[in-house]
Amino acid sequence: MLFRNRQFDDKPVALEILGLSVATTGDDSVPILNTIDVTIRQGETVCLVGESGSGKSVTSLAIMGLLPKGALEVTAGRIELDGQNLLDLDASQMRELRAQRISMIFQEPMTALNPVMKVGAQIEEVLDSHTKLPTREKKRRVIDIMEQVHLPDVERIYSSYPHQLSGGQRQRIMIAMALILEPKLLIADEPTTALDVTTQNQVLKLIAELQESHGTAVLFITHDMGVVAEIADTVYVMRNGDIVESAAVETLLRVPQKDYTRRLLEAVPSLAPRDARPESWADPVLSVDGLTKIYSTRGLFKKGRETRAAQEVKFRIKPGRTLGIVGESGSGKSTVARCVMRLIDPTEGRIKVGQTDIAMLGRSELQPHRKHIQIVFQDPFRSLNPRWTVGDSLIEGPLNFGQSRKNALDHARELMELVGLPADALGRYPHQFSGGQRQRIAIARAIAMRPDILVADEAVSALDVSVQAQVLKLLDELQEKLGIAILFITHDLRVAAQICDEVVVMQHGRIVEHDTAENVLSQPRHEYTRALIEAAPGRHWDFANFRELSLRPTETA
Amino acid sequence: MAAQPQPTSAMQVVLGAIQLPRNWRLGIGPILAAIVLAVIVLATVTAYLYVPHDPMSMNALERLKGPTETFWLGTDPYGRDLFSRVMVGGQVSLLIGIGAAIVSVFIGLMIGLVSGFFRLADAIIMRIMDALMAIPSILLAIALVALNGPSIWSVIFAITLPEIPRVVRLVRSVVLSAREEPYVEAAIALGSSMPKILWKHLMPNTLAPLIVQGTYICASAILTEAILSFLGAGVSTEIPTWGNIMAEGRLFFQIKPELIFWPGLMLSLCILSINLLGDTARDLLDPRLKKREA
Amino acid sequence: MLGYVIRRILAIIPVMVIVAIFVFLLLRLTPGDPAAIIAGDSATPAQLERIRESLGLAEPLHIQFVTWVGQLVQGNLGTSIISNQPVTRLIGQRIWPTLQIGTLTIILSVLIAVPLGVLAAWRHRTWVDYAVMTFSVLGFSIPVFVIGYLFIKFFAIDLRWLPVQGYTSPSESVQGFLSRAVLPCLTLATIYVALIARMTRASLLEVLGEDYVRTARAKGVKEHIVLFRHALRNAAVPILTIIGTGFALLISGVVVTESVFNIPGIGRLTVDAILARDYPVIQAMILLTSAIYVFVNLLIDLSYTLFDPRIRY
Repeated sequence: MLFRNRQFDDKPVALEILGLSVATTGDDSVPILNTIDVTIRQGETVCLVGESGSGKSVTSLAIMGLLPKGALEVTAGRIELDGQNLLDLDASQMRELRAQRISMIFQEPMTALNPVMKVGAQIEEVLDSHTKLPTREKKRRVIDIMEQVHLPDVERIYSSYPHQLSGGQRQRIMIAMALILEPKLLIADEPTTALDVTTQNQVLKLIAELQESHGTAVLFITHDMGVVAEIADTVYVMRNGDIVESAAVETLLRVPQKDYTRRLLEAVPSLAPRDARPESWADPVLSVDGLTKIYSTRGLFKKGRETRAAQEVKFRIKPGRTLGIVGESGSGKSTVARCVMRLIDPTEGRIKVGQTDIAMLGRSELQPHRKHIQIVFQDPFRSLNPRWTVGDSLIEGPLNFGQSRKNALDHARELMELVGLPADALGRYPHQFSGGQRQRIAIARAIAMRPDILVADEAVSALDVSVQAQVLKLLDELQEKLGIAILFITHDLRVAAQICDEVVVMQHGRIVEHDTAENVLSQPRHEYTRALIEAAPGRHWDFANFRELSLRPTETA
Repeated sequence: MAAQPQPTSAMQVVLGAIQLPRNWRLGIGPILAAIVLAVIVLATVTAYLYVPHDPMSMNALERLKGPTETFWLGTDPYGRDLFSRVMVGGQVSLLIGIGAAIVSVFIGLMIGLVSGFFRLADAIIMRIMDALMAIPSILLAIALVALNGPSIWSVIFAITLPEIPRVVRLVRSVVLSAREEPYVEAAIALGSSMPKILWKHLMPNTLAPLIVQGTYICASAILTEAILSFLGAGVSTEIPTWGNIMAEGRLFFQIKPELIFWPGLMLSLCILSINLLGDTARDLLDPRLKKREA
Repeated sequence: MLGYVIRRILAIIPVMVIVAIFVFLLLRLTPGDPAAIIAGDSATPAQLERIRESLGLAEPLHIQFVTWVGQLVQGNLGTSIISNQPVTRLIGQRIWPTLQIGTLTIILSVLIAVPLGVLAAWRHRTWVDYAVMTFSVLGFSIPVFVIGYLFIKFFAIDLRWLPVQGYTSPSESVQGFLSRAVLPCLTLATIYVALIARMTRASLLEVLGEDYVRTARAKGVKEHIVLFRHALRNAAVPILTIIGTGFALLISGVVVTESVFNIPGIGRLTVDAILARDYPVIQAMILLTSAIYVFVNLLIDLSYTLFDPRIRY
């Protein structure tokens, strides 16, 4: 089954948002939502999808009556739950209604649970607030819902603290908390965004399963088209506080009506790997061999505990090629990147940049080799010094290697044009640029050193999908022009498929598979790789071409 | 806006470090505090130009007089004019406050930068700082003044020393969190030297919190000076300071409480306005607070 | 857990050693002849000699240190130069009033300050909040002794509700103790309350912005439960910390307050010792108060584990 394709036209309306507008409070109020309409029927899953700043989370908080006080307020419209306008209710009526008739789960399961309360007690609190059950009955219901969300070893988890659980378990607790009173409507605000892909897949399945069995209506907020394809019945596309388009999921993905929707879908990277480039016979610019990083915590009274963040990692990259390292959080992929950059010191192994092994060089011996290998980080808002002009950031490296200020600035101007930014913006500060533009600046800063190797550590992960596509294209063009080798670290198979020639899959600090991108994606040999691919949401759909993905068989099951 | 970035001057670093939130507004409190402080500072600094009597000249016939036309606030146990003494007395108190703030911030910044960036030095420095923090500051200050003599500089030193560990901890914590920032790692990758990273990337982060901390230190130093004098371990009793005037008034408190009341009022107003300005600066400069109140 | 406790206890050793070295060097590194400083300007050569001998100043520095630490370990804090009594006995005679008033002050302060801080955070940006904040800034800005004299003037001299000064032991008369302890306690508590209330408010405000508070509200939990069960407990660690570091302020306050109210505690002992340059006593008092400070903060560190299950490394 490609999509859920369920029919809801005959079902009663659970929630109806009519002409809802939200604006910032104060004298110069800025509109955030502009008269939006959304209808959710009983048992239906409605996805609100959009890029950052589209107003999708504000919509969910407005329904819950949890808009930050003194910052945002509803200026017009109605929110009707079973025909009752929620905006007419006072604070205590709204409080009564939460968890009983509408409940909500949030993005960060780590911060959304109270760290100093046992999770069982946190679920029980819902019952305490809305019912008067005897203690034993309360515990029974909590245990029951915990079993329904498929938590293992329920008794133990009941009396655990959030920090003792994994991210997926915590999100299950949140779901249990949300559904224990069988509400009419469940609002899920990016509930899987902070989770690894395999966990995400399980949580999505769980939400769908519970929805079926409880008949709950779900408002699902996400930025991820893959997740939309996986879970939605109906999709609303949002942009700048407007609903751009809404339709049944298959209709929307096959025949989007609006330009914006088309562009959004076209930007989603495909799981089908890029066309293979001809083999290169050049010598590798980077060869890593036997790279191992062990973190040891040694206490006075504790036995030393060792964490093997990376073990026996080995790969080579040739000029003009891109090698991807793919893995979930904790797989060791970033450790490898940071070792290669010598931002941390490897425990063992060789890192040959050109002809020199830099793995064990001291700080001053290392300095001349730094210019050959540069890095671009994930977070565009933190990777540039906010107090420096862009020009100062761009020439920092060249000045360290003896270039004159004037030459470096001239070069910086060329670089700005190379990455698609106006050259006269050198005097501006980072906060005057958008996230995507900052990431371009960060790339320009790396390129300014004329490196042989560029390490991109989740360099597009924090970007909206349309911006992500542009930055990936930029990297590709730069590689073409400069013959640079790229080591691309990512958790996202789709992105890896689009940019990598070769892919290394890491799990628990070890390489489990290393092959061409095409082989890894279409004929994965290791079961972990297979699990990763199978868990990728929307993997059967080729979003950019509005049709099924005609991929060579990926699974044997 | 200039297209070509100019070499960054120290002033730009400081100004760049202080990023005010957009459309900030001052409440009535901070404006009042600024006015009060400005008046006190001005009145104190120019005191010798207008005070009606020599604040040091004793007159056995005029002891402990109430307010009269010549002695606006009355006289002290030695027949000296209280008004003149209070106005002049602020000079030394303010000097000590500002001196202690500048010296402790400067020394604390240097030690904190080193401690935040060099692990080896850090372990030793922080143990010493912990120990310094453990010694109650008043006792330490009293002991230092008792040993070094009652000069103004010895009092400034005695007040400064216990403040240094607090500054060091502040600077160190700012440096420790800033050095995890990707832009610092990028600078390492770009081959920038450690001193350069320390000074140009990390140090500016400490300036805003240091300005706030500096105002608090200034306030608490003025307060400590008063307490030291009160306990008889402050600046030499011949010099009029707010603390000394109050200390001399102790014995006559039941007869003439104004001897403590007037200098106490000046001192408290002064400290109150400095503290309020410090709070305002913190609200404007502390990014965590900004986020919270956004 | 036990490992954590042991490691915490061991960690105070280097701190106390450095404090000891510091106290030791304080006198010896002062420019000039330490004996002359102690004896004052009008000292006779015989007096100087006696002081040098009693402090062992003639020996080389490291020998002096070893001798001194050796005595310390045996519980010998030296002999007062003025009264010729062992310092330990002096402290033993004077410590009870200070402990009684200090303990009373801490209890009083926490009981007043934490509810005030919670109230201010709960009613953020209302007159309640502004009133608490104003009080707290005032508490920082008025010298302790001025507060003390204001209280005496108002409650004892003008209203005649309470005695002006002095101390009565609770074993003699509980009522007498309390009537004489109220004003010093209130005086001491002012700055401490200001400090704790301020931190409670700030810490609570920060916690109230956290995701799990939003979750609690999304669950339909009542507001007072959100405030106390969810927010206050998460805000506890910084509040405890400030109670601990604020303890130093309390010690300073004790020194001043005992002078104002004429209480024969160790604060007065210290002031008298300083005025008389009785160095062995000064030295012992700095060591003792530092040790108390370190010990209180150790207890507070250990109590973190009661409030936050994550601290258990």
